[in-house]
Amino acid sequence: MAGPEVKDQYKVSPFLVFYLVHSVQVGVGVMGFQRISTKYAGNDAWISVLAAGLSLNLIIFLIYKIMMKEKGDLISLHHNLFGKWIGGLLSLIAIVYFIAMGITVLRTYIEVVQVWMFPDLNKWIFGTVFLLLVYYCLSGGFRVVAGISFFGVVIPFYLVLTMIFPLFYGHFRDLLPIFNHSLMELYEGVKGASLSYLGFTTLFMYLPFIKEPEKSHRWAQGGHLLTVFIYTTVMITTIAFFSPEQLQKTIWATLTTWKIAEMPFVQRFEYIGIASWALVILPNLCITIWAAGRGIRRLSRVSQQNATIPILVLILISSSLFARRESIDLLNQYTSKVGFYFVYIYVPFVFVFQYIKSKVGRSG
Amino acid sequence: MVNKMFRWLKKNRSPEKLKNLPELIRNLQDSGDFLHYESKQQDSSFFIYYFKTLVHETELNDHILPYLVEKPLKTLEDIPERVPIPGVILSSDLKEICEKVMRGFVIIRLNANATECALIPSQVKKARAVTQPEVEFTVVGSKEAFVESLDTNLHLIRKRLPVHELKAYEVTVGKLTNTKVVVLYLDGIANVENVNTVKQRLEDINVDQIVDNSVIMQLITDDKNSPFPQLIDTERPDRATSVLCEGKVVVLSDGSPQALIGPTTLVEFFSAFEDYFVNWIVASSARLIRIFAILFSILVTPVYVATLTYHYELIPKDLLSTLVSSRQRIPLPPILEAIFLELSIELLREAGARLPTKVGQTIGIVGGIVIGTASVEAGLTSNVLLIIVALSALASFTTPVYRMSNTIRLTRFPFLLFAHLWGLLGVTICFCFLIAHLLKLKSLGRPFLEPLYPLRVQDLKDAIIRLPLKFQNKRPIHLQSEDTVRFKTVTEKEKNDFHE
Amino acid sequence: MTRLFIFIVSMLLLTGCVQRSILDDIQMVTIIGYDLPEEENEEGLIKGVAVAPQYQADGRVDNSVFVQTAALSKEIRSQYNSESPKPFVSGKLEVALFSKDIAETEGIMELVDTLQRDPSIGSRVFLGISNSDMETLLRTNYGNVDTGTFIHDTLSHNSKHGMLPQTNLHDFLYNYYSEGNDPFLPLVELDEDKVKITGLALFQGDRMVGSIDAKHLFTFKVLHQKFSSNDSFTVKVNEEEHAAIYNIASKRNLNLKKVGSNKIEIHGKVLGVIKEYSGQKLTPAKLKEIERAMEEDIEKRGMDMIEEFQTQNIDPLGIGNAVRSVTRGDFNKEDWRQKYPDMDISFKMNVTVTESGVIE
Repeated sequence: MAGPEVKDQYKVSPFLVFYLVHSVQVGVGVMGFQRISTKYAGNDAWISVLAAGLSLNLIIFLIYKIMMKEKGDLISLHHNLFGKWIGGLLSLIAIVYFIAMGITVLRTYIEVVQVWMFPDLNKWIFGTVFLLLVYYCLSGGFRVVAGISFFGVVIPFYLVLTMIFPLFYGHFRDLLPIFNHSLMELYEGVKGASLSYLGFTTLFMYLPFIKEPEKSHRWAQGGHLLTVFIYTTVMITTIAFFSPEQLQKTIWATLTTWKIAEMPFVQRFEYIGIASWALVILPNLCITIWAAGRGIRRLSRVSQQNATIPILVLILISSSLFARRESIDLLNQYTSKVGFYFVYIYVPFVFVFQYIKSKVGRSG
Repeated sequence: MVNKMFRWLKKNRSPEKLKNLPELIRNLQDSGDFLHYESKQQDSSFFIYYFKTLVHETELNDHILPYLVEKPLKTLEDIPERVPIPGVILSSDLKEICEKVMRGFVIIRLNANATECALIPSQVKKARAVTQPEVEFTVVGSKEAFVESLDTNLHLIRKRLPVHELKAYEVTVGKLTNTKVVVLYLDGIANVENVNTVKQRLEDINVDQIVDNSVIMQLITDDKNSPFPQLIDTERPDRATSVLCEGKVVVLSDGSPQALIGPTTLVEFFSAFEDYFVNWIVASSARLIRIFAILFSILVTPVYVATLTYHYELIPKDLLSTLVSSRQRIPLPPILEAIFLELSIELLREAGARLPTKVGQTIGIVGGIVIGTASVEAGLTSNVLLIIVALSALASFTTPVYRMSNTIRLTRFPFLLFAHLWGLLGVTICFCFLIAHLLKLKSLGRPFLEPLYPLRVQDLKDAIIRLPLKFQNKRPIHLQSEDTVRFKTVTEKEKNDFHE
Repeated sequence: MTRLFIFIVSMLLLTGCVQRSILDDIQMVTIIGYDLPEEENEEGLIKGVAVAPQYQADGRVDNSVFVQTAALSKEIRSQYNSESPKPFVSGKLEVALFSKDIAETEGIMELVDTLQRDPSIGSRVFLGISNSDMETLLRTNYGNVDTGTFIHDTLSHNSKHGMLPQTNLHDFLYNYYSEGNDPFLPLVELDEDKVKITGLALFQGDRMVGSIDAKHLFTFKVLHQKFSSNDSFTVKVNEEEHAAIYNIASKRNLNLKKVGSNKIEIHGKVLGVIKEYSGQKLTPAKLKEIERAMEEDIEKRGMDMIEEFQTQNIDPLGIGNAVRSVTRGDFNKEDWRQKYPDMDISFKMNVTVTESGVIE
């Protein structure tokens, strides 16, 4: 199976991969990823976050190695490596994973809004409107998806500045002593931190839409590094701001730190933060749903529009079915677990498999 | 349905139905202003036919007829030789004859049954004199504005751009009006694809009537269902010239004092032409103020509604007492209060626009003061909101392009609705819709949000800010110009020291 | 498509709305006070006093006071609603006061927990302990202001520029949950038609176990944190000479090098300006003398304070947290608690007078 043919006019410049990678990573995770990592790694959690981030740089490198050899997308890669049926099955799993990511993002965001702003928010109506928005973006093609992710990074970037306020309340002594946790604890912290980094695997799907994909490698790494930087800064701020037990009790630590922000014209920044977060969530949903729809289109003869609409309905229904905090937590845990293995085990495996297969193919 | 109507129109006026020239002339004689008489000389005679309302009669009598009567006319071929006016043609093509006579040509036949005739141009050229621009008035700079005559407008541009590369491609549009539309571009500078897009779209137009260039704008625009204008119209010949030099395409049409410019971008709608006449720092700050004003104008009322309806926590406590006491006597929820005020401002604006200038101004001032004060006193609106709405209306008028300011004011209403539904969250969602919409828009197939998205750093030199002229040495990337270099900057080597 | 669109819009308008809290249709509580009920039969219940300002159109502010008794603080809120013309909201809460009785007998965490759990309550809410009768304190008219803002501002400017350490909801929770800190809260009292800060209430866990008098607040703040203040500190140089030091900037430094041998040194460093001096002439020698007098004074007060803390086994200065930050391996809170009273904590002051006013 050959890679997809994408007309030049639908391709976007390699520089936008920076935003595509960054915006799909920063999502609902940032609002409360601190609790999970600090559970194991305590005040060294920022090391876990940093380590998880830097190790993923290597994974991105591997993804590019694989894709530069393949010259296609995940679907053709699976097809060529594992044959029609097993490859197709694996692609289907990847598509389900992308959809699950979409469900997680939407449901978690709705939960945040329900808990912090509108307890009686109708999740059906809100979900419908939000997914209509996603559909509106997707109908413009990948160019608009990339544009949304560009603005989804640039416009809410001012929120990073609000992290200054908790610094005034920071107890930086809390970061000491550094390296006071065992490697095992740090590893558990890495595992906890990796959920918030996931999503860049959508690279597998949209790489054919990039002009000169090999040039986009450094942008992808750059986008990821920005995420690492933001997460590490947020983590350090959080550790300094809360005492350990207090942080364990705080589900959405980032939102709680916003509560301390105060400006002459506005108080209680978390409301603005949650509202602005819709703009951060949007590219997240757009990219994952686009990747899923694109996958179905490549696997079958269904047009992307006809594939996307059922996906959106599926996301709406299933995200509304999760009603309780625990089930949402469970959903988050499962997607992060699958994502963790996808990234750390499956990608290196594919790399090695592809390498062996090309060696064997050449000699045989 | 529409097509059927056109076909009917076409049938009735089609010269094909008329078999020959005499029949055509008989047909034309139905109109009272169609003159025809026989000029009899001693041994020859000829027939003259024309519309007296289209023909310059003095010219006809002084400069055409004397040549025709000085010697007897033998054949029609004599006429072009005799009459010292270019453009005299001989024709027996009924369609051509019909078209020409409707444009002010004089028909000359040698006998009443001849099927061939000579056509002598003698149009009356009545045009308004070139006046000052009113919509895009600038304090400094040229004081000429386009008028309704296409020739005058072309003249205004040609005299500013005396180069042979300036091409004027002519298309006739409109089944009934037969409006002449001209596509202007600089050959070798403007992107061929852009020019062809415009030409193609103009040729594809299929309507009976072109009232104004605005109609053409609506017909050739990329997304017809968008409230955002995707082509700029200007009444300034200097602006038209300047964008031609950038590599854009200009469309002029007969009978319209406005030129269309494309492809354009969103930020261009917020740059006044005056920005190029002043120092770059002043110009840049003016642009920044304008962009701030636009955001303010769109967002401030929705944010007011959202905050007062849902997010009382956001209001600092010093402001709280002011806001609460100003709303104390008001029975309406913030959304109705805001819509009531916004609508009354729109009413004032609309009334002001429909009435004659003098009365309109009075209505604006009186209405603003009286209605505003009265509604606060009556307890219908709070004075805080009155200030906000008035300011946001004022801010929307800072947009240099009139069409855009209408759009901006319209954009506020969906935002208000969403703000009422979900507070600030709703505002963000509406904002997302707006961004997605803008991302989808194109102007002549070029991205509308450029240079912001796709981000082109080079084009930012003349977008949100305007850098000094020496930096404007490259044509914008989004125009894909055939010749990207405008001029070469000669940088003088400066001594890196204080002046002595 | 159009029909679908119309359907969606009308669905939105009909069912999409969420609970509104229009600014002038809600009862914004700005201060809430908790007290134990006086009657005997109300054992185990809590009396809550809430004040909500009523902003009038002419600029007047009236304070409505609501008093209810119930077992849970959220239950109190639903009882408030039953006697209020507008629904109660807590998003603009500025101050929460607890009576000394509650703080000493039952602990305040149960009440603070509801504040912490409610996302609409900000982290900057001031907490405080009061010895006055809560209802009288909150019923008092403090002029044409809302009571919450009045008390909030009193506490706020004192902790920003004065001698009061910072104590908002976040700080309290940080100290409460921290392994090596004990919380403290300001003590306020009704003083005719004003509210006066009378000192600091010290906690062990969520129970008040001691207090510091207002005149020792400066020493406490020097020991506790880095700060700069506009308040003055009066030094008694000798029997008849006094000097007042203003514009104080203070730093504290913990020397933890000898923790192994149970020794901790606290270094305080104060920079200040003399604004008032009752003696004759300020010579450099005199300045030195003033500095030394001040150093000795603060050192003595500080040592007394630290000893007091050690006997009560409370750690409002966060020494435990500092020790934790230099301890490798697990820091055991219980072990530390046992070790703390026997620690050898010393306190050294260094005072520098930088200016002596505009007159020589």
